[in-house]
Amino acid sequence: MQDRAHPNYFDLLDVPRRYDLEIEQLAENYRRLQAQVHPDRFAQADPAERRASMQLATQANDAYRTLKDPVSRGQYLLELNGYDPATADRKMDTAFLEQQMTLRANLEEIPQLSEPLDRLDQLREQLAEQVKNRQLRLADTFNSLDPANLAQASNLVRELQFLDKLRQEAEELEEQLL
Amino acid sequence: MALLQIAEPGQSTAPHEHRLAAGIDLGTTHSLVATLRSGKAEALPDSQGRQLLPSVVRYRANHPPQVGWEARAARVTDPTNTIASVKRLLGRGYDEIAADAHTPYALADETESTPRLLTAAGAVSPVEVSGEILKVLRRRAEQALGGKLSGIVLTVPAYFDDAQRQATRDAAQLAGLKVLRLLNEPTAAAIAYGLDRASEGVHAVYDLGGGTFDISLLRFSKGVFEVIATAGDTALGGDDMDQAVVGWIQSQSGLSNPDASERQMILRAAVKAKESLSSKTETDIQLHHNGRTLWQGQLTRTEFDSLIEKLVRRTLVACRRALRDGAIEPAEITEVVMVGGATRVPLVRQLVGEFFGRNPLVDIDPDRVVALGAALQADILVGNKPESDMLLLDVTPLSLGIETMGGLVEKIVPRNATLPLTRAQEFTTFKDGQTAMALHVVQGEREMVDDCRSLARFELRGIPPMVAGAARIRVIFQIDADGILSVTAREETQGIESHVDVKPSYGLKDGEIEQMLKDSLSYAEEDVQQRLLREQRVEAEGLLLAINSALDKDRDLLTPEEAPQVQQAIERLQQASSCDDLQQIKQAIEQLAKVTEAFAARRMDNTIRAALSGRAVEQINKTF
Repeated sequence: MQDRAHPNYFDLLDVPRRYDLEIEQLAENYRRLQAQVHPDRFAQADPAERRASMQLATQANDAYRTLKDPVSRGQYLLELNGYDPATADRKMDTAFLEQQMTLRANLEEIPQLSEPLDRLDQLREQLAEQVKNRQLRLADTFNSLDPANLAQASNLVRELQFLDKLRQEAEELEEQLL
Repeated sequence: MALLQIAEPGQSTAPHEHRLAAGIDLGTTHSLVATLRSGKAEALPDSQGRQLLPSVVRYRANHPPQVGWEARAARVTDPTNTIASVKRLLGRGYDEIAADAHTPYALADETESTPRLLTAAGAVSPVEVSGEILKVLRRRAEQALGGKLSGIVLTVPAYFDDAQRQATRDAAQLAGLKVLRLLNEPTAAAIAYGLDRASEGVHAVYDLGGGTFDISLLRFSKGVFEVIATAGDTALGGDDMDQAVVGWIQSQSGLSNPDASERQMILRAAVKAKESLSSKTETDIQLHHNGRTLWQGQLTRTEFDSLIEKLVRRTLVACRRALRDGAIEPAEITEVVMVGGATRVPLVRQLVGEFFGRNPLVDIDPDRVVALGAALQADILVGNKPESDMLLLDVTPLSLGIETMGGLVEKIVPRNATLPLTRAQEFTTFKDGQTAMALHVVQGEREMVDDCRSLARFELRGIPPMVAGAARIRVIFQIDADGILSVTAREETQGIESHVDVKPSYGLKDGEIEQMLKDSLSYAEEDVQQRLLREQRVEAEGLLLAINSALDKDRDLLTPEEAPQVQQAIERLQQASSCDDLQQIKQAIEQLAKVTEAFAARRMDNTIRAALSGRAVEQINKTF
């Protein structure tokens, strides 16, 4: 991971390697780095330097995009910890899956209900609550140094992915309803 | 020079050479050019003090084309030879132009590589028409500044696709202008506003021009403008409001089948009515033709509002999409900036104000703000302001992808991704023993290839025969800070590669541009070959200056093997620049760039160390 072509994103953006990041700090460091390395700063430089600048600016964008998003940040931390989700037990918590099915059914019903936009807002609040809950648990899991926790973290990341998909569907539905 | 900047931003020791730069807003109805004078951006006037140049070109047999006010005045008398709103045709295919019901122009034969309009001076492409407008602005700027322009920043609607952007670049090249960057119009406006007020926070720029609508969300923080999201509609603008009024006049007056000249008369009356309803609540409309009054009537603002409300609502759908893409709540918006002449319409201001829950800012002239922002960015990109804090982080306007089985699009780069970027995805073969793969690069948000814009096709050959699904083909999209896309396909086991620099199909081919340059009057005085040679020499000079200053500072970063190679390459380039062989200069430039690549990378690492101050050096050494 730690070679020039693939720098560690946390180091590149000078933030601690943890799940519960200060997003404001991340954004500020990202902008400060871009202010130094962006190709527009080298508009009149020679081609080699422009290429180097472009490579760094590209990495800075990758790093910011990966760490900013709660799902990809979790996946990236798993990767950094050497955890391969492909070998993991992919069985998901039955209670979670049932809850997902209920939420999805509720979402599909919404267009037929009266006041669909209000109902949609309620559902989105429920989703947001669940996302927040998992982010907090994920932070705790990553912060404890026990390697056995990685499987649990991987599960939480996958649950977040499910919830994120539902959130997107809720947004698409909103666009249709408007 | 920028190289010096690496070590100490702004501490340039190279002799300061002020380069002439300008920002140009090539608009649907008006165009203008702006430049920086004593630190302030200002629009340049023509000899009669007029800053706006109507984007109208009139072609005549055996005379040079008329551009601007004169041409606009001829629209009624000579409608078929007078091309207006050409921006709507830029980068469009023959079918799209023919399908546009508002186009009053005759089209040349469909077999032409680019669509052309028939005029008294022969067939002209939209790129050439735009080039005529740009030539006038170039002359205006060069007269005002007293020298040749080193480069310009040219603005385009944020929602222009690659074909439209390429056509815009081609038009500038045709006018003898070097494009440093295409800048999105709303972004340019935000730069002008943001720098003017030094106001930090999230700006929403609502840009309703003659023919296009854009909404952009930008965050401005400590000199860095970060484009968060853009959305819009390339075929929606003030012209559509005019057409709505034209339809109303036609139905009220019974003039349902006007000829070309009558149509222009009705259109002028409609435009006048729209403009007057910006300040009044009702307006009289009179149609005069050949000295007699054909019809007169009255249009109230209420009635006008009902004619255009649907159009304005369409813009709000795009606003909502931008907020969603950027994950921004309306309450987070600190300022709403209005750009484009059509935002003078009161209903637009009212509905936009209601949508964002705050009154929009209108105090920088919406017709000029875009050109002013472009001038500020041009000054930086031309290298006049190495110490400037301002930096723009721009995004991809539309998603990019690859055609897959069944005519579906696999998106590889989403819209609103920050530039520069690299994204890759793996594909595989679908037949046993398949040794070649056709790749089709497309742009757009829809799921079917046919609904997207085709950008390029290329092939990867020499894939080792394997069972279907076993080959691993990595497709890599790379977009630089200028928004230029290149796509590479690589077979992972053997490492064979195929590559394409995307040049969209509706731009002009290189040969065509060269031919047009030769034909063009503005270059009669200078041979094209001479011009290319001069440009290469300037580039060589710049490179030598940059490398020498870098060596002065960081010679110790060269390895013992590199030092003689670099010295040799420098001497070779010095020799090459003094001879007249274009190819030799080009090769020598490439050679020098190649041998200094690793050196440049080392210097860049030092830059990061400086940027990430406060961290232990050992820690960084581990990282890189």
